[in-house]
Amino acid sequence: MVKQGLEKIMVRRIVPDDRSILRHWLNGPGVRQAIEDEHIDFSKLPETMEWFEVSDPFCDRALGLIVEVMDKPIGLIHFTCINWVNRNAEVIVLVGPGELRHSLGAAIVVEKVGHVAFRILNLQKIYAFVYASNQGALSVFRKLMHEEACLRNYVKSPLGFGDLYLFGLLASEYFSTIEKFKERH
Amino acid sequence: MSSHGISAASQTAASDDNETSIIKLRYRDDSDGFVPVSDASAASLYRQFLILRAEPVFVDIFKPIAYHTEAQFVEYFSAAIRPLWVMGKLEVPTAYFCLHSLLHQHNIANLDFAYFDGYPAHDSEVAIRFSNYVRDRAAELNVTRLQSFVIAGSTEKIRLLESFGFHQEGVLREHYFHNGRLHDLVVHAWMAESRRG
Repeated sequence: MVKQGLEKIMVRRIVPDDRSILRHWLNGPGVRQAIEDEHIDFSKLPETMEWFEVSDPFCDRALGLIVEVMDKPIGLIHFTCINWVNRNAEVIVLVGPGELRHSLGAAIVVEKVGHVAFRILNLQKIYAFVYASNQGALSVFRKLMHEEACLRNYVKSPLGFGDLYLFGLLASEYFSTIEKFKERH
Repeated sequence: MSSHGISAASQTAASDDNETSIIKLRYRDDSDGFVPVSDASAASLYRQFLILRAEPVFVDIFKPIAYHTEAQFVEYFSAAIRPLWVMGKLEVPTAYFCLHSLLHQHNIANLDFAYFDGYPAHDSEVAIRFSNYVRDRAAELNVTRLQSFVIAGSTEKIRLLESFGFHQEGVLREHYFHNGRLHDLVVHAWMAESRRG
């Protein structure tokens, strides 16, 4: 069943029909505290949706994508700060359905991040910031990417200061992981 | 330490003059003090940032060079967003530093700096004065965490940062393209006492 699902995973540009599911995901509990993306303005979600639909990776240095499994959207990928000189980009990943966030769903979405970054955009590195308070995301990223830095006491909140982790994935690591996966299956 | 690094003689001479004359007097001053760069005079630094050197003069981890014209340079380094300070003559400074990527909501800024003719010894008076001056400017901006991204090969710069009390927080692998190849970036941070907890 899982194998059948994996064969039907696709990633595509965001279209106006995705607005309701994206609004639902972005308004979910804990999402606002977990995402720091200069393009995602929670007070102006209609404009944010439009940005996802029209952003040009070359002019705007950003690209919004939806991951689907068997025609059902399961995640949002947002490449931002695409740097064509360094050939890297920051990526924000949101696995929509809560029940998929700590499971295969998260791995599927991150694999698609690598697919787009390294097979389509010709980037050489992607990186992501994760708040220390977001234990679920930390657990997933530690399995799939490399922890490169921990910025101590970075985030100021009413509760005090929190750390911010930076994870990175190089193209060579992505292709190596895919090769190992193929050999095992 | 004199106010904003201007020598006492310059301040006295400038005190009776208008703002334009003050700027001119500051840049005639060859002492080792840093002086702030106003938006109006930032263009004079533009050429220094275009020269390809062994070490990058300025690192923005999120953006490629965002100043392809002099006008863009002045806008990018506007005093409100990325304040700059220079030592020596503006057109041919001996050193500069910048506090950029200011995140006021988190009281954070990135520190970038270069000594164009070689870095001072970490225990020298020049280095100590520089460190104190940067901390004072950070305090004025209510910044309690300073972070710095330096290419891994810049050993003198890293040694200097660490002597200022910066601690290494990680290495961003193959993150920065400079002079024909990708470099690792070493991340350092300094925090004010109030933030260390």
